[in-house]
Amino acid sequence: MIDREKLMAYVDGELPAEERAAIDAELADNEPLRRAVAEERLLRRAFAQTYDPALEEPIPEPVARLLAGTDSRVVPFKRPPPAPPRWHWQSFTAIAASLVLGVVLGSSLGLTGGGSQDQAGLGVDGELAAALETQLASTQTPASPIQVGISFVGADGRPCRTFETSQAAGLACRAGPEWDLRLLAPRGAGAGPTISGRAALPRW
Amino acid sequence: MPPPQSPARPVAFNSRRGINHGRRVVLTFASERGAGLKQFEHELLELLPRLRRFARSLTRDSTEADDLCQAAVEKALKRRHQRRKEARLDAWMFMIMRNCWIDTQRSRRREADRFVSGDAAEARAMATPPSDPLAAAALHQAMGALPPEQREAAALVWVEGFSYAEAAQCLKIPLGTLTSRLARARGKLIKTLEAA
Repeated sequence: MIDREKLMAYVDGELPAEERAAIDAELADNEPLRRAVAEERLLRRAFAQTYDPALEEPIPEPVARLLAGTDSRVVPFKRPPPAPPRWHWQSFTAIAASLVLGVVLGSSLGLTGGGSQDQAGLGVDGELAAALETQLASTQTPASPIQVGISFVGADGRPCRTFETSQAAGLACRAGPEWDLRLLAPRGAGAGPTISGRAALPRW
Repeated sequence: MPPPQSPARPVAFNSRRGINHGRRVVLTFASERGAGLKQFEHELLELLPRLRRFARSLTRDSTEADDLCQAAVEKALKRRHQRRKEARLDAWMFMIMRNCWIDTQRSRRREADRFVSGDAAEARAMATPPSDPLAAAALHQAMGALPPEQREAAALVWVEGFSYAEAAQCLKIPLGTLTSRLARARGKLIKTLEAA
């Protein structure tokens, strides 16, 4: 007599080869056994009939959205709007000063690559751009020639970061794929105001 | 009169996720969005039809199944770093889904205890999936009447095609426990099918 549990394992392909062969051999002359096996198989078919249609149905929209990557869950950097940001008159003064300082200080900051001028302001590249792009304020070592300060989103929606070198401090904001220098000031006594942390934030 | 100012909002930089505002990710560097996450999302997307089928076999109706799918995918995205490299994605996902389902069951039981008697809660039949033939509807009803531990074993083996050993490993139970749960489940299910 083959018990029900063994029959279940037989139909599920879970029996060792010899036990399976024994049941195979008995099936030919054992009508009740054949019926019991058919019953088991009916159950497996009913499972397929009941639940397999779910495989063909369209993916529910909320779940698809979850797996849509950058399209919904994460917003990549957007390009800045073409319209110029609203400037406060004090900002003009600060930026004008920084442009002058930037040009004057130019090569004396110890930054390879320095800055390059374009219509949007002072572009940043080389070592400074790399630091702004990849350096984390929380993990940088004091030995890094450029120390990144705080990071924030400006009123115009652009990500901005403050930074300091041994000779200067400044503020750069992301413009498309590049960083624009918004503010630059020399550091140290006698060389002008020292700027660090939130003090570096222009008022706009 | 100066224009209205919106104050700059200090935010934290996070190496993996870009800039965070509280819990919501609003910005990220494209280069920092690793290929790993994309690959993971792609694999999950491919697995989704099976996840949905598994969810159907555990829950009462398709709405509940889709909610369960969503909860499981959300949890998987959050916990993807906790998955052992050698772990099969389907087994890992099914267990996340199963745990979400158990949590839902618990809260539903608490709810039922408050509002209806135990017998009434048990008698509340699973909604019949639309356009299913008689046997399928009967089986779905019968699955809903199984105790959760028998239903999950049946779903893994008979719906998802896991071997007994794989299902036992997934559920972290001995092989003998799994087979006896299956045997009890099959007895009840076959009886229901015969009556249908």
